[in-house]
Amino acid sequence: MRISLNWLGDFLDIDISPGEIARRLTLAGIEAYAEAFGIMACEVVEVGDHPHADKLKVCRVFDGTGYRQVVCGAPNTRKGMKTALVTPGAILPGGIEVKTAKVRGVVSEGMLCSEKELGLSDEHSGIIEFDASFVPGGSVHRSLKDYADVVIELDLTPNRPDCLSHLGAARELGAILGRHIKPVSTGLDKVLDGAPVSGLAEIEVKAPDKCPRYCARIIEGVKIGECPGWVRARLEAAGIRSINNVVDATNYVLLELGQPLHAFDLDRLAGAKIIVRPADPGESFTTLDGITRKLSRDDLVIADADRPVALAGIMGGLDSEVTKETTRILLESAWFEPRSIRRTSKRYDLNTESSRRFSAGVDPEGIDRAADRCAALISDWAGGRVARGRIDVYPKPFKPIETDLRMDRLARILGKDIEAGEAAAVLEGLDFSVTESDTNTLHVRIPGFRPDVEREIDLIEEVARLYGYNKIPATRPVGYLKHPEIAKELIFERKTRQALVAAGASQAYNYAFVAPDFPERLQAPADHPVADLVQAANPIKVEFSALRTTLLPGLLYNVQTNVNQRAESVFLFEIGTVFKNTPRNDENLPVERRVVGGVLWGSAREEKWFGRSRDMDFYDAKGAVETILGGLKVDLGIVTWKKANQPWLNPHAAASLMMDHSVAGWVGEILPSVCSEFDVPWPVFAFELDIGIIGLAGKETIEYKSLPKFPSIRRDVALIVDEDLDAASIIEAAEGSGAGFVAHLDVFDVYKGETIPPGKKSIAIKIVYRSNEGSLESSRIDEENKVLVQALRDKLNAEIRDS
Amino acid sequence: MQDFSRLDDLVQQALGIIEKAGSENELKELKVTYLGKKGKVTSYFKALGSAPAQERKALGQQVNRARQAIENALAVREEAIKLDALDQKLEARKVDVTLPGRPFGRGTVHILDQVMDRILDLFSGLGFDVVLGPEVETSWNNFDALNFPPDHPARDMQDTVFIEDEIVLRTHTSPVQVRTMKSRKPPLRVVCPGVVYRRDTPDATHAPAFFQVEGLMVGEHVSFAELKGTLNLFARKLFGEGDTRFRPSFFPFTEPSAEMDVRCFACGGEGCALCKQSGWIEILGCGMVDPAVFDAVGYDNEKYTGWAFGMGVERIAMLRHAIDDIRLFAENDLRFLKQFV
Repeated sequence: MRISLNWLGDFLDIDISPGEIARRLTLAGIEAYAEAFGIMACEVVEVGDHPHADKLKVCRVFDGTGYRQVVCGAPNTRKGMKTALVTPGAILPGGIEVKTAKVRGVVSEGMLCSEKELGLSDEHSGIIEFDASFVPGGSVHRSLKDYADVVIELDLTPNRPDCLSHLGAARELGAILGRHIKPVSTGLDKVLDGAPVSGLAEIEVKAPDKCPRYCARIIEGVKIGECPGWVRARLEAAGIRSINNVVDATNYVLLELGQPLHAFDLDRLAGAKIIVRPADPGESFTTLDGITRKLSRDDLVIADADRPVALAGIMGGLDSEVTKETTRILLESAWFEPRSIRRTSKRYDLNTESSRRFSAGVDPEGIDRAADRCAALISDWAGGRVARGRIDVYPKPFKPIETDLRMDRLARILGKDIEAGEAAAVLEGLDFSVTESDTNTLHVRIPGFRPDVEREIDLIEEVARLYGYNKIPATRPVGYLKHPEIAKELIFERKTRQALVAAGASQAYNYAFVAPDFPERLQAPADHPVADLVQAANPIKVEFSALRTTLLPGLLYNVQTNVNQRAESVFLFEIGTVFKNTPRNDENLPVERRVVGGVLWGSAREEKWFGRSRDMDFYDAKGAVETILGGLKVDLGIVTWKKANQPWLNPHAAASLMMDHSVAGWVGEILPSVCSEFDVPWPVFAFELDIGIIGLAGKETIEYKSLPKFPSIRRDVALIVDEDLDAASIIEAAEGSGAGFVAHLDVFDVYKGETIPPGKKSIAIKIVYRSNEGSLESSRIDEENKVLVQALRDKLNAEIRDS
Repeated sequence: MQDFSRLDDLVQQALGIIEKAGSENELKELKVTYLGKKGKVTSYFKALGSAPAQERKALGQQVNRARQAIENALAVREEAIKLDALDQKLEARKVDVTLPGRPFGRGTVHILDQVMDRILDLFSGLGFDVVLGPEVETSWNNFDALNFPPDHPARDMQDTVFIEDEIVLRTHTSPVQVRTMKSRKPPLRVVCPGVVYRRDTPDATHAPAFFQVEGLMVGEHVSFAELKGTLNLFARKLFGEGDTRFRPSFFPFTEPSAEMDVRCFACGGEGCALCKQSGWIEILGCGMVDPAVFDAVGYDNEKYTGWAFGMGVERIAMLRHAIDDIRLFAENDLRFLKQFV
C-alpha cells in the first residue's frame, strides 16, 4: 500500500520526518519505507561523468527524504545547484509518465527538468535553477504544490486490511505517536439537494449470506470530465492513474477510507434494478478488462433485470461502466463475504484493488459513510445532485465482537507486567472501546475495521506491539537439565557424511523435483519401483512436476555440470529423501525413504605435479559403499554382495548390497546409453543405499577382542582359475579347506595377461596362520598349507602357480 | 733394529695420509698399515725389547704417543667421512618446499549442512530435541492445525505445491511440531530441521525447495520474554555479540508474532546495500504459539504457553558467507562446494 504523506496530513498533524515515520511504523509491525514522490525541488550533491556518453552527467541528488541517482544532459548541471526533480511514477504536465530507466546503461531514478518540461514557461535552455530559498522535497511552483509529496510504502501482512487506506494508516500512526486523528467529514450535507432516492432504482439481494449489506446512492445530472489536479497528484502517489472524475472519486474513497465502491451508469441498468445473486450455471460475463469468463454457481454477481453487470466485489462489466455520455450514477457501497470474494478472485486469477480489500475484510461499519463521502465528491467534481437518502439492504446489522483482556494472562504470555490503565490507553488509541475496567480485566469492544482481532490473545498482541517489543525484557528459561534426543536418522546421516567426506567425496544437494520422464531415461520399465512417481497437481513447470524415486538423475546432472566446467574428477554424494507413490501409509501419504547416493567419474585424483592418477572404476564405487558401512559400524561379515540387475547399470558390473536377505542398495557402472541420455561421458559409476536399513544394522558399541599373544606366519598361494570364478568362492573354498590355524584370508592380486591362458585368470591369496596356544613351527604350517592348496585344487579345478 | 729417531717423521707422514683418506675402507687399511700386527708403528713396540734398559721407558712412552696420535687421527677422520656421507644422503633427498603437498583427497560437507549443524548444535546444547517428519504432508498438519483457515489470505503467503486435494509438499517444517505435540505431552523443547517446498520459480533469491529449522518450547511458564532471551543467546553465538531487535509481524500460528533482526554485520548499523540502508538484518520469524494451535493438538491452552521460531538455512548461509545467489546451493558445482572445506 502506497500512502501519500500529503493525504495523511488530512487526518493527522505530523511533525516527524518521513524516515522516522517509516521506522516507527516498522517497529509497530507495519514494515514501511519512505521515498519522495512527484515533482519537487532537489539539491544536486554530486556530478560525475557518464561512462558511455560525453554530454550526459550522472548526478546524485537529495530529494528531501533520501538520495537518488539521476542522469541529466542539461549543460547547466552542476554540483550544489537546486533544481526540479520528477520522480518515477509521476506524470509530467504533458501526460508523459517518468519511469526508472537505464540511460545509456546507467540507472536514472527520475529526471531533472526545465521550466518547459514542467509547463511553467517555454524556457528550455537548461534545467531550472532555484535560489537558496527552495528546500529539497519542497514545492517548485505554486501551481505544482500538490505534486511535491512523499510516499510511505507499507509492506503489509495479510492480517492488516485496515491499513489499506489513508485513514487506517493515519489511525495506526496516530496510535504510535499517541495522538488522535481528525474526524472524517463526508461533506455530503452541503450538496444533498436531489430527489428522494426511493423510486429511482430498486435493489434486491438474493444471497444475503454472501452480501450481508448492499448500500447505494444515486447522483443525477453529472458531467463526466477530469478531476482536479490535486486529486490526480494524490492518486498518482498511491499508484492509480486518473480515468475520469466519477471513477476517480470511487478510487479516491477506496484509497482514503478503504471501502471499494462501484459506479454504474444508472441508465444502462435494465429495469433500473440491481440484483445481487449467485451466477447461473453456464452464465458468462465480460469484465472491464475485456475478457469474457464462464461463471460458476459459487460466484456472486451484481445483475440488472437482464444480465450480470459486475463480478461482485472484483470487477465491473463493460456494459454498465461509466462513459462520456453518462449523467446518472448508481453508486454501490457493499460488504461482501471475504471467503467468497477470495475464491472467485483465485478462480479467475483476477486480483484488483477491490478484491484485495473485500477478501481481507473491509469495515462493515464504514459502508454508508463511504457511500456518502463518494457521492459528495462526485457532486463536487462532476456536478450533479445527490438524491436524498440511501437504498440500504442490511437485514442483519453488524454486531461488534466484545472480549475480555485479563492482565495476569497478558503478563504470563509476555513475561512482563503492564498496568491495566496503560493497556487501556493503547487500545483506545487504536479506536477500540474499553467499556469496563478493573485492575485485572479490561472489557473491550473491537471495531469493525479490525477483522484480525477477535480473541484475548489478539488484544495481548495489540498491547505488546504498541507498548514495544523491545521494552519487554529478555530472560532465559529455567528448567530441568536433560540430554537432547537427536533423531537417530540424523545421526546415521551425519556418520555417513563424515565417512564419505573423509574418503574424498563432496556433498551435493538437489531439489527433489524431477521431470516425470526420468524413469524412461534410466531405461526402467513402467512397473519398476523407480517409475512409481508422486506427481504434483500444480507444478511450476514439467521439470518440477514429479518427486524423485532415486537420487541418481540429480547426481548425473551434477556430473554434467562439473564436466562442463572442465573438472577432471567428480566424486559427489547426496543424502536425501526419495518418494514412492504406493502403497500409501495410514495417513494416505506416500512412502518416504532417506537414502545416500553417489557418483564417480574421471580420475581418482586431480592431475598434479607428481603425475596423473588412474581412472576411477567399479571398485572405487564399491569402496565408497564399504566406507559408509564402516562409518556406520556395520560388521562386513553380515553383508553379502550379489550381481544386480538394475535397468540403468551394466549387468556385468553391477552389485546389490544384501543385508539379511533384503536389498539395502546397489552399486555399479552406468550404461553408456544412459550416460548419453544425461549427456555425461561414459563410464560413470554410481551407488545408492537405504540409510535406515544400514544404520539400524550398525553396532552401538564394539567389544574389544584381545590381541594375539603369539606370532603369525604368512603363506601366499597363486592360482590359475576360470575367469568367471569369483573371489568370494575362492575365499569360501579356502575357509572350508580343513587346514588348521587359518586366522585370516585375503586376495592380494588379480592378473590376466600374456602368461595366463585365455579364459583364465591368476589370483593370489595370502593366508595368515596363527595359534592361540603357542608359536607355530614353519614345518607345521607347510603341512597345513598343503591341505589348503590341495582343497583349492580339488574344489576349484585350480592350477597352482609356483610360489 | 728400528731407528727411534725416525718415529716422529713416520707419525707426521701417517697423519698427512690419514687426513687425505676418502673412505672408511681406506682408513681401515691405514690402520693395518700403521697399527696392525705387522704395522709400521707396531714394529717400534717390538723393537723396545732390544733397546737399552735405561732408555726403554722413555722410548716406550714415545711409541705410545705415536700410536695415540694415529688412533686419534683415524677416529677424527672417520667421523668426518661419516658426516660427509650423511650430508650427501640427505642432500640427495632435497625437496622444493613451495610445491604443494600430496593431497589425501578429503571432500567437503555441503555448506548448508555445515550451517544447519551449527544451528542444531546450538539448540541441542540448550537441551532441545531434534525431531524429523515427512516432506509430503496432509494439509491439516501443514495448514489447518496451524491456524491457517481454508480460503484465508494467509495461505497465499506460502504458495503451495499440491499432490492431491488434502496432500501437499510441506511449506514449512511446522507440521513436524504439530506431529510432535500430538504424540508428546509438555514440557517440550524441540527443533525440526528439513526441506520445505514452495511453488516458486528459481531466481537469485527464490528456490522451489529450501531448508528450514524451526523450534518450539512449550511449558507452564513459557513467555515472550524467554523467547527473546533464548533467541538472543542463539543469535549472538551465530552472528557475534551485536544488538538484536524484535519487530511485530504476522504468522497464523503465533501470536504475538515477531521478526528478529541483528545489527548489520557488514556495516555495523551505518546502513549499506546488504541491510538495505536500515542497519538491521532480518534473521528469523518467531512468536508465542497461538492458542488455536494448542486447541488443534489437544493441549490445554490456559495451562500451557509456548513459543516457536523458524528460519531459512539458505538465508543464514547467504548472510554468513556473502553468497549472492540461492541457486548456487543446488547447482553442485565443485568449484563452489569445495570453497567450504
